[in-house]
Amino acid sequence: MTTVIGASEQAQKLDPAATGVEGRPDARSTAGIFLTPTVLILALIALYFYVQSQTLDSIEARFVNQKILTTTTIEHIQLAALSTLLVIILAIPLGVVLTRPAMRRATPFALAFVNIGQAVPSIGVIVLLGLTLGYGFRYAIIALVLYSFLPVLRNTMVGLQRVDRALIDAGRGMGMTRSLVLTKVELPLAVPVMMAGIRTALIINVGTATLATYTDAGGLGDIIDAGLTNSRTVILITGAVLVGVLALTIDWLASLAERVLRPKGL
Amino acid sequence: MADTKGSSTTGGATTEGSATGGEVIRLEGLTKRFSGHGEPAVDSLDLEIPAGEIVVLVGPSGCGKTTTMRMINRLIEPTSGKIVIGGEDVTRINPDQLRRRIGYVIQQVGLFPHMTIADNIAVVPRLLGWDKSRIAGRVDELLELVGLDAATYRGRFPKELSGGQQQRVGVARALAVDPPVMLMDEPFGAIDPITRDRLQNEFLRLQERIRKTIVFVTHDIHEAIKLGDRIAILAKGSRLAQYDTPEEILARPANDFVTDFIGPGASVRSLGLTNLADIELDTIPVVELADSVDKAKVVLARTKQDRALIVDEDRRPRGWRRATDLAQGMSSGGGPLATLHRSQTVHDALNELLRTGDTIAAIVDAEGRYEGALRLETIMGLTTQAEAAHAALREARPVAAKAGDSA
Repeated sequence: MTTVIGASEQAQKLDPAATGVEGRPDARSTAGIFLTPTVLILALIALYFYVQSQTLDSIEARFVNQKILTTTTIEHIQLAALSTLLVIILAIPLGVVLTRPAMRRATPFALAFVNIGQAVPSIGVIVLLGLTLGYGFRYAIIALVLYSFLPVLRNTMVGLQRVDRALIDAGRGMGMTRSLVLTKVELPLAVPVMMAGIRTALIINVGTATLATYTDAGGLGDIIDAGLTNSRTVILITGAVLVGVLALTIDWLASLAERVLRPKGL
Repeated sequence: MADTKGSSTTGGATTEGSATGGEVIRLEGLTKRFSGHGEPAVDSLDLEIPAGEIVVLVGPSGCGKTTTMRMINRLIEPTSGKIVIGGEDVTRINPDQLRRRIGYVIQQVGLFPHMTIADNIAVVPRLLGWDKSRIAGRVDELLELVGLDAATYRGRFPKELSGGQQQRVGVARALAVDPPVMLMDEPFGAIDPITRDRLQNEFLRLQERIRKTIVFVTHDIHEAIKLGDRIAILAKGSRLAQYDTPEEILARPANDFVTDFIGPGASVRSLGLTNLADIELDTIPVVELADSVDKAKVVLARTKQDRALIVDEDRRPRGWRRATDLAQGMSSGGGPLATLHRSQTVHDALNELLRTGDTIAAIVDAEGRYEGALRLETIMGLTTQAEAAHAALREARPVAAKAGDSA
């Protein structure tokens, strides 16, 4: 993926529009807002009738039942939500620090380091961490944080760097302190780009959490893996559809959040 | 909003009627050396800016004028020297506190796009901890002061305003806490020429009322001449080439640098200092809108002119009645009409004539009623006079007055 980037080229190289991090349409019509949930509900109904039409053998029944599906779905949501929350808590402050004038020189090194996390294939990150640190939910969370750190950090930095210098000059010139300029001007204006990064991290985490099953961390990966190893299409389809629906639901919720949090007047 | 009145007496007392709302700014040996550059950007500048005046810092790009201005509110910290505002040495005080007492307007305006117009104006009052009703009252007062309807604009976002309107808000924001001093860095530089001209005129009228001490940076000598009570022409390193009134600078440039900088058109430019109210206007034939074609013919024949100005019942100029049109039996007046207000300058009249491609401009009073005309030939005559006077002055001026001591 990205290699070490010179500080001066960052704004360009990191341009989320160019890297495809940002550009989702948020000017969807009101009708469009309801399109995604409708499709998702239809997909779930279709899955239900498909499963109903099948006669389940004992292996299939072990996985395709309400209890196990609910448990794994909740685990999956926990994996994705917690890891994304940690990324937000860690990456945004780091992005803020790295864009302060005093820290400009450290920026390329920090980005190079974070890039390693994303450059390695996701299964690699998870399994490597599993082997070195240990199995289970906690280590899967660490792996997911490493893997989805870059989009949030990068978009925080880009969002802040993109704020018109004249606005900062105006703020400072009026007697706003540096921290006031940051909290009242820079961060609010960076919100749309930052939100796009967070949304990307969420999607990555919902998808990658599927692999957490290989380090015994649960999630809907359990179902898909069971379907594959036992050659049971019903199990496989159930797991895959649920992951897909979950990913799209979360993306939809994130798009709503983007709308609400976007500052007015932009 | 109920106590608008109360808050305006506390918040904006000085905007109403005080003789000068400004304070003297004194720069003493002000120097800025940027690391890695041999030559100082500003080299030991001494400058006194009188209270309540507009002083324009003008000079070629890279001369250090913006650096000089930004040292006054210490967005750039001086390497050495002193800044004294209203008798107080502000070189070492807390810069954030200092800046809250100095209005700051920049070319890019810098309105915060995610805040409403009211919130933008309220930034500094909030920093100073004003209460809500006082802020609301002050916002409305300032919007009206810069010619924007408060009810219409206070809740809007910057992007909903035109460039000219945004800069008015920029000025209102700088005036929010009624600072004695304002710094303006090419505030009209990014605005189209027609709007710029209007904003400059409004700005001068506003300054009549508020009498702030204003440091104004521009690279445009026209703007400097139009706006400045005094002009500081700066050479490289912010060396003061001449510091004087616009009239003096145009009439008696202190040295070759100034002569080069104000350019060969100084005589034409001096037209920009002459108000139409101060010169003798030309007389041209006038007919009323209701007058018949025959009457117009008679008037033209008697005055031996090829056209007459049409005025309506309120004596407002409406167009031209030309002999050629009348010969063809046409009664309507055609062609664009250069109309100027008496408070405008001869330079404005020249511009307007060049724009309309006409040779006679109609001059009107405050109510828009016809007062007289100005012919292109008359303007040319004024230019020649100015040129002659200018040349005579330069002949007479001894070679002595070299750089920087004319103030």
